[in-house]
Amino acid sequence: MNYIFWDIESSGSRTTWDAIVEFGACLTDDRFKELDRFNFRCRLKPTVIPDIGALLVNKSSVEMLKNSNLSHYQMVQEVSKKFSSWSPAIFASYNGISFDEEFWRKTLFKSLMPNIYQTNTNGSKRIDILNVARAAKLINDDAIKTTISDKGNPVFKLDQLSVANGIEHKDAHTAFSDSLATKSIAEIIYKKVNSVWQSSLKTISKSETEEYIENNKIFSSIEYFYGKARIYLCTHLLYHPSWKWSICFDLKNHPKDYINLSRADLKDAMKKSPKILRTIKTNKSPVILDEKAGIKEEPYNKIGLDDLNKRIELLKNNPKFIENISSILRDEAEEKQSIDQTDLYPEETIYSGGFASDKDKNLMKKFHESDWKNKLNFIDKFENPNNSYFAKVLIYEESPDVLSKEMYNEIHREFAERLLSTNSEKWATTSKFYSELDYLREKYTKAKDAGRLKLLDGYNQYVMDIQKKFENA
Amino acid sequence: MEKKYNWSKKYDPNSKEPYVLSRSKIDLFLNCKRCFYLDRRLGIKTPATLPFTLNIAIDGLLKKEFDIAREKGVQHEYCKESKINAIPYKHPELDSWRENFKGIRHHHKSTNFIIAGAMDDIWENQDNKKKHVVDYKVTSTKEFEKFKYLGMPWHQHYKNQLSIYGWLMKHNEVDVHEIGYFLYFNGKKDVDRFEGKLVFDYQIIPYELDMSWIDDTLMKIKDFLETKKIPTYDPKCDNCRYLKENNQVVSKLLDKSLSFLKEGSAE
Repeated sequence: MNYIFWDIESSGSRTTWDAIVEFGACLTDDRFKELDRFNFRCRLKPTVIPDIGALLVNKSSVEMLKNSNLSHYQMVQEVSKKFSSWSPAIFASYNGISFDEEFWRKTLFKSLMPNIYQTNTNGSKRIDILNVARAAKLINDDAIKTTISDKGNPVFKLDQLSVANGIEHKDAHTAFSDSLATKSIAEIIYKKVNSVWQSSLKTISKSETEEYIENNKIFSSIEYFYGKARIYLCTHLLYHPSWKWSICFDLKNHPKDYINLSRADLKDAMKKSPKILRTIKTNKSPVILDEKAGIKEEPYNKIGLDDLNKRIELLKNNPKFIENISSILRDEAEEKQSIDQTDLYPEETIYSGGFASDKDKNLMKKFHESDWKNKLNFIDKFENPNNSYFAKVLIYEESPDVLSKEMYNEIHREFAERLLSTNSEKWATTSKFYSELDYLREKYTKAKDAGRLKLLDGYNQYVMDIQKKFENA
Repeated sequence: MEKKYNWSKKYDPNSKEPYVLSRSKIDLFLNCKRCFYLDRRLGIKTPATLPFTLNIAIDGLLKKEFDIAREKGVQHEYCKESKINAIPYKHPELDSWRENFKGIRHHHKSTNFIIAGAMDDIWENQDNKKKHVVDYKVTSTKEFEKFKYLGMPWHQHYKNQLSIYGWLMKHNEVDVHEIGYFLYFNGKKDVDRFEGKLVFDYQIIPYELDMSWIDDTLMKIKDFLETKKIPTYDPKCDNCRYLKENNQVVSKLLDKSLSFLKEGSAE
């Protein structure tokens, strides 16, 4: 399959509330030969207050935020079209499964795009090169060079990893440059630790991951926390009753110590650290290697493969134990879900709101094909009221003149209330922006960084203009 | 290359004769080990699909067309339009190389396999006289534009196919160009009337041949054919999935029938 290496730069790190300001990607064949590329910059959505930190990192000037050729909506359309013409492919990003992927999905969702799961449906799959790089380093320390943190752990930040591995990465933290650096890291792993690369390709979709863990009674799961990658030699027990992730038994523990515990004792044992159960998020392209990787590590090497296999047999012959775990996990999930029943904003309903109906998907397609004036006709037609809300917001952001005064005021007031709020909100507000501005002004004044101070003045003026616009609502 | 060896025989581990292995069987090995084993070792073939008669007709017409340009030693208009500086290549064996069940062959000594494949065409690059391997493809799709990226799942089989032809040409003393071409035609469905004619778009898609995997794969096939163990069902293979599910249903029915016969009762 072809690969799409891609990256976004955004106005902040809140995937639900912030906005993409730059999108870069390159399409390659399965030998990393480039076939096509794009890089789009867009104006910042008028309903978003930026984080200064993010803008400084991705080098966004006020000029770019205000005067880029494409609007946010236009950029989303262009990227979606490009991705569709390049698909099916393996979408490869760097730390993308938890950030870029979520950001893009939510952007598609709010932009009324019919298929928000563009990167993992219709034959496309996804891979996170950060996870693969960590696994590759763990398996072959020499293959991937890293800098070392103060705590003595390898650092996998893309800009530092590029330098350490001799990858040209002139414009780090710009979308296209980062996507090319991601491609280069992938190529290094492909060439130097091909076994890890090939294993990673076996778990780039939920169904393939499930197939792998079901067909291999023992395997090495690579997890990363507290700055280190770790190997767990595991066997799959069950799928989480609510989240459907694979719940595995860490074979360093002997099942005989657990299988006869009462439900309450087992619940306690499951909470204790080190955990007896490991969770593999099957839909998040985990890195899973065969048992050879884990069997070399302590304490698995001391236990030995024969004894590990006996432990698996014991687990297999104790279905009651697995049922107990399932029941404990179900109770915990239900408890958590009952706590989370708070009112959600439309922007937050991507997963809880269910899939868009076929009727709404058809309307979305027609909505995008219509000119802005005719887009108005769709507002009341969507089955899901959140889609009607998104339609109104899109028209407000892109062509506010076509909205009736009443509708314009409704959306304008909604965003005035949100952006000018002085409470601690989930999204960026003007008051948050000004506190960040004060802090950074002091910092750069002390550092005598005239360049940064000038940028801050620009951002300040930009947000003051937004504030002025909404104060009249 | 000697053509006497049978193209579709079962593999006999005790035979000293070279074994003919077609490029499509190499693809079958890459696609599903179990189906390959059943086919080549046990002679159980996967169900045949209906013949692609329209595709075959178009292949034939294209060969005729390119043969005219070959005879004249001129560039074909498709190449001209696509700015490919190549002309159809004249080779005394070409007709045989293009013929089904003859094809271009090479005796791979390390495995004692004769690798064979029937190719579509060869073009000679006019800048460096190297030879491009060419395969004609026909489809009918709204997504034809994106085919230029060769990213659809079946395109991997096409890439393998072109690379094997390139490998066979190389072993038949042809100076092979690293770029091969797919001459790809698309039957348009958005025309107003049929009127007994199909209207086609076309594109010539370059592909950089990858022969690096071929020798290694042949060695693996050799080892694999020597084993006596039938691989398990491959969940990614349609035939395997069908057979597995079918077998499960049949064995359940058999169990029920047996229990009825034994106990005189059944569910």
